[in-house]
Amino acid sequence: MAEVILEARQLDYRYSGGAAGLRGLDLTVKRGSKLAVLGANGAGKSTLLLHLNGVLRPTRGEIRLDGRPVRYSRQELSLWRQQVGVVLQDPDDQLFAASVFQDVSFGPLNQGLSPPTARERVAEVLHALGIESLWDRPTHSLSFGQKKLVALAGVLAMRPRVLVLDEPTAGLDPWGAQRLVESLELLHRADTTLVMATHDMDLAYGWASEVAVLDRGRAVLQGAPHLVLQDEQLLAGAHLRAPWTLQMGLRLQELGLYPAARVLPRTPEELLMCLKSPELA
Amino acid sequence: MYLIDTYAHTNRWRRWHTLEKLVLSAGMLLLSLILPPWPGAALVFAAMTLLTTRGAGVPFGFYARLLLPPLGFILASAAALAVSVTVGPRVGWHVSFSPTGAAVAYPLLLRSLGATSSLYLLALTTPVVDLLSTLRRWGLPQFVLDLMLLSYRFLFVLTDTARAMGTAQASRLGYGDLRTARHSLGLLIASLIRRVLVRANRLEQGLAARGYDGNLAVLSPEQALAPANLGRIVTLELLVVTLSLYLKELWTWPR
Ligand SMILES: Nc1ncnc2c1ncn2[C@@H]1O[C@H](COP(=O)(O)OP(=O)(O)O)[C@@H](O)[C@H]1O
Ligand SMILES: [Mg+2]
Repeated sequence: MAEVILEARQLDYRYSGGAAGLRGLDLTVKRGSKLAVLGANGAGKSTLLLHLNGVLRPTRGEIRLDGRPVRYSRQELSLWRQQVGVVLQDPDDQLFAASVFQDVSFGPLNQGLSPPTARERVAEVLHALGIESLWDRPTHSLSFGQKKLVALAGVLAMRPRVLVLDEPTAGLDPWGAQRLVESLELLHRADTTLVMATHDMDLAYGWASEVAVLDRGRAVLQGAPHLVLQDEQLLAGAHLRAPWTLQMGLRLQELGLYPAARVLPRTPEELLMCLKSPELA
Repeated sequence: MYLIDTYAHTNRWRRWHTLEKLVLSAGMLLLSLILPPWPGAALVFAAMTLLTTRGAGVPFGFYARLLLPPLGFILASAAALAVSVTVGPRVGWHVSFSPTGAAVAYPLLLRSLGATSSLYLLALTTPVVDLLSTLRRWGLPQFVLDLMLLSYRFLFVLTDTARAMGTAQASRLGYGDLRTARHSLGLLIASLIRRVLVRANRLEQGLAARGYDGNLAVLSPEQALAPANLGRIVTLELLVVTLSLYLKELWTWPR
């Protein structure tokens, strides 16, 4: 079994208004995996992600990084946040600087890099995301999609081992979402562990190596996507539905159009392929 | 406000070193205050207007519109000085032009125009990013700079939010008549304040996630100081000084 890099055990979190954010939540993030955290609006995804690098502190339970419970001292927090980077859902909550390269330089400078090294990092990350032309644009003049990419760049520039993204594709057009998924694929190949919160079931099914379903502050199930996402009852209870590609694949198997022994298609493209040439599938 | 910022980022002088623009703007500001208003401050005003519109390429129409509010204010105060109104039991209302008042008003008018145009040159050619990093190099305390940076950023976040909420209200007839308009505006302001607090809270979380430790460290833009440019700026300023002293001999305003 793969090594566990980050782990949440029995997390409880209560917002100051009294609303329960998390209730006894367990989550395991394996090294090198692509974990999708699925849940309806208000299920606690954002609350959970803010715990993963110590922005929020659980009222009960603990977070373990590399098997060791983390402490919330200034020093430990700083080390922790260099390893686990969180990209927030709303880029306006993250972008504070007046221009793009300044904003992206914030994390690297906080890590103690020298200005010339930080400058190289910024250039490298902007290039990797294909947004180098935005480098000296004022942050407020960017489109929503551009802001999301810049917010991602600001975290990537810190080279985290675990990258945590809160609904990264929400509000992006299909092309922008596709580009983002491609960038994530490159990071995955470069051995970055990825955690993504989303309620886009089709995206999660096509992307994730593992999924966790959240419902009212609790992780009800974590496991392989094709197994977890077949459980219609569980999904309905969490106000989610099975991904369309999976439903379609299962139906094709039922009709005998798809070999029962084979792995089910995970993306619409794969599905179309096996419809075009069933004998190849 | 958006447009000022846009021009600050897109004008032809964008890449000039901030110090050059500061020397030009601050120097001219000083000149418009110490030179004889006629023709000194008037020359400053003419030079700065030309430089901003012809030199940096800010459209003249926009520049003129930007001058209107301060100009209106200046004219109103000049008028208050030059025109005296007496109210007496026998004469009733009496409005009269006061030559002594006018003599005070016209230098005021010229100096204000000169000073305003000097500041506009800076505001329209220099992005806030550049100004802040220059101030940092000069050793302004970090927390003051952080505050300035956050105010600048929040200004845009807030206007965006206020505009969106205003549109949403208007599309549901929130501004139909004066009474509903007043009510809607009140609601807008109240929820704007609430949103600012939420926003500030979440921004803090966002910064914390990137290792914020009480200090908003960012890279400064790289700029090269051009000695030739500085030379030209100082020459221009000396020229304004000589010209205004010389012209003053030739042509004095009636006192
Ligand atoms: N700042 C807050 N104050 C009080 N309650 C909150 C706050 N943020 C979230 N909640 C509550 O916590 C629960 C989980 O929210 P959240 O983590 O944002 O869900 P998700 O990201 O899955 O949509 C919701 O019931 C929400 O109303
Ligand atoms: Mg959320």
